[in-house]
Amino acid sequence: MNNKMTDELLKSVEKPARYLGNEWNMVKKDKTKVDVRMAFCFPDVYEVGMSNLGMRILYHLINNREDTYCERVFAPWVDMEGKMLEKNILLYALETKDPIGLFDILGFTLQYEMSYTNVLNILKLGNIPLLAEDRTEEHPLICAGGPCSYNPEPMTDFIDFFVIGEGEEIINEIIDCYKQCKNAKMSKDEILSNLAQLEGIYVPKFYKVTYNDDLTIENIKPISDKYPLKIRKRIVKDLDRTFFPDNTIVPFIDIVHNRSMIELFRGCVRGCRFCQAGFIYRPVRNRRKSKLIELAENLEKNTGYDEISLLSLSTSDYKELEGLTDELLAKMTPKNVNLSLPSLRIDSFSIDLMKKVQKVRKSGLTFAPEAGSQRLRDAINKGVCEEDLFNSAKIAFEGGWSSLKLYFMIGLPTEENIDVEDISKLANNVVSLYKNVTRGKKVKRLNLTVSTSSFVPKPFTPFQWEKQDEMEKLNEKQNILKALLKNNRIKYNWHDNKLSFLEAVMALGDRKIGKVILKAFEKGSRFDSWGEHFKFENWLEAFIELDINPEFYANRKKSFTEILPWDHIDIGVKKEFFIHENEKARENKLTGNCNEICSGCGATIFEGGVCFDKN
Amino acid sequence: MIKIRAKFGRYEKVKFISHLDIMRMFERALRRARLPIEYSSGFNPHPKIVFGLPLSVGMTTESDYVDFQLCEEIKPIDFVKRLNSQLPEDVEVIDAKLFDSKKNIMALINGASYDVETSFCKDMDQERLAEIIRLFLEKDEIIVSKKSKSKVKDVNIRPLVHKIELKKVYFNFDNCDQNLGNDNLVTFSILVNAGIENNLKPELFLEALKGLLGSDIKPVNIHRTGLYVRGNSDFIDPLADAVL
Repeated sequence: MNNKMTDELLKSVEKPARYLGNEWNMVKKDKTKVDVRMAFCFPDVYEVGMSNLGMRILYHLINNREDTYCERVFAPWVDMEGKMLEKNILLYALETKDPIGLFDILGFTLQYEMSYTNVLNILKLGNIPLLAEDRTEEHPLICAGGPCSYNPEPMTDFIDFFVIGEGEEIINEIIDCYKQCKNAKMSKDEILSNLAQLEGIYVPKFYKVTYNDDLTIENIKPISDKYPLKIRKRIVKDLDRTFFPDNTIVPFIDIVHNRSMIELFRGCVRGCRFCQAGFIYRPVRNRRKSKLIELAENLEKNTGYDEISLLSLSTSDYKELEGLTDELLAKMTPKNVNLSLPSLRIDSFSIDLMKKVQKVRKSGLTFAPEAGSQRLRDAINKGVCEEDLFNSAKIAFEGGWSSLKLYFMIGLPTEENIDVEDISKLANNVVSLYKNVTRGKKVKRLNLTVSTSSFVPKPFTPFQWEKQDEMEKLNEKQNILKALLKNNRIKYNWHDNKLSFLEAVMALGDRKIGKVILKAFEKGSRFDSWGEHFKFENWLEAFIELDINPEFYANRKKSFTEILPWDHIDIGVKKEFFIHENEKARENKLTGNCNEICSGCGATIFEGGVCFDKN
Repeated sequence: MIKIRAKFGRYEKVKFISHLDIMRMFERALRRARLPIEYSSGFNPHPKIVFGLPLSVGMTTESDYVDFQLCEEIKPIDFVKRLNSQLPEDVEVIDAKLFDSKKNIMALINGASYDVETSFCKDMDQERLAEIIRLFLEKDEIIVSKKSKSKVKDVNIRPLVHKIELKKVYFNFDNCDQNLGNDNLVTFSILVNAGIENNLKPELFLEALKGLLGSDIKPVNIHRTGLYVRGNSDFIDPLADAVL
């Protein structure tokens, strides 16, 4: 145990268990008997990182190898960070308490754009140079994966190589390659050159970006034809055969998602035009019901968790959902284990299902219409109609639910003020519906919350060329809703516009943004997605000092012919498809889901998933 | 109704977790061990487990107690073995017995003993310290400010303290970086009131000692050495036959 991490220090910070590890099912190995030491670094605090399914999977997968020890690193909370700097304590991994500088490879997961300053903070607290070009042979190799790495450009100053695609598929190849190179005593550059030749690995230093006079990208190309023009993502073809841990770590303290998790399927058949996850994880690949039940039973046995969460992007689309939940309930209810089903869609919503699942607790229900008017819902391809919403709400209210959350986005492409006002109309209609359904009965007043996030154009979506509404415009729309929702005691939550703005800049940014991230970090930014620590001024100052215009990235509509910063990444789904979808949006035309009809998005190139299911 | 009362310890490696965390830990361990714990009925069923007294973050214990209600018969020795196999390092069940008394452990607890390791900065020796303890025990009233969630209250803690002994002393061994005077490490063994009524936290005891000592006194380590219940006399072992 690190000598400097004294009892006194631990007692002086919040949740000291964040820094101690030693949890049930933590992997313990002899660090001297392995060939490769890796640390999985989650750029947020323990409770957030430990809830991440990707980390759970990769941690146990890598540790299944005898030649590698994979440990965990989280961002220390601000109180502990202060003490560590004061007492010269280097950031360490939880398993061995060794400083992160000692490891061979540090792997970051980029789950959301506003975590980037935390990536830098972790490196700094480990005394590792932030810029890739400043690091030497003695420093670990720094890699990154996760959803944000599909546009890796803003982070290219800091990361040695990116893993594009699903970690489970490629991580063993990476470690094998690294091991071989290390044994052959290759230099870091040689190792990177070897890694770059694996499919799905992007080494930014081997690619050059040139710009036009108008600051758009002229070209992105490899410096040698050893490296591919485009980096194609890697996916797991068969989810039933891929590794899934059934012996996951059980933390001592409470974390955000303190339950077992099983993934029903990856990708999404719906193709909502704003949604990045649905496209980057195509083709949609299902897990067999029998496999899911096996995983659920093993997890329950080995963790002792009293809740199992069935995860996917759109759980209602799992074809055997009813059979699966019936069987799971039969097995789990006698053990007093609950099921949780987030991500249920409105139109195939089954109240019977919810009644069965929420047997004991009537927690709130969440619906996500996303847009207030049918016109706009069609434009974004969220094929939900008001009738479905009201039908489902009615059955829910009749069944005893009195708490409901409605999620919307404002600032969507083609949105007019009327669409925003329609959000309030919809919400007020729900209130009236409740009053009608519960007339004469003695029930609680309806607890209705409307929540709006602000549209952020994301790479690899049909809306990737769109502009985000300016902050003032978003503010205006929020004010419209604030006024309209004041009656009827509807609670209204909205997202911080400054944060949404920065998210857009990071999501759509090119390599120049790296300097902005560094400067904001040097001014003290970290934990940006935590309201109390977000300092917009740092970012504004950084943009000004570097003479970079953030509105160029966030608030500018781009032409279909412009080279986008992520054009050298290939996710299978073709640009032509996204362009076609964008045009259909303007005509308010819907695109059917993959289970009904194939729209030729391009994901068939991976030769797997529902694209090839015999219907 | 099958009820088991267990004595357990929680040591260094897991001392930085809260009482709620301990409760969750036991719940999960019981599940993994497939032990037949009884659940409450109603909207939010929870396992029927009752702890004697909460454990603060940072506190170790060699003698805490918890009652379990089971829905199947099981020999205590098997219960202990199976539960221990699923408890993490530095948490262990030491002993367990069947009981059928109607009162659960939380209601019964009336006392606790602690080894409170402290440090304070003042010129000191054994004689003078013993004198200070004697003065403490002589008083009828020792008033301390007790902070609760909403207010501050003055409490007389003297009647809540039953024994104070010096367990380990290490005087004047280093120079304090503050004032004048040298650093001392002293472990007090105390027996105090505990439980639902009149619970005295060791930290409050130290607050009270501050005045008589004439200097600030910091807890370095707090270790609970025993929990006691009221039976036909005070401060009985919760696993004594008379209590069960």
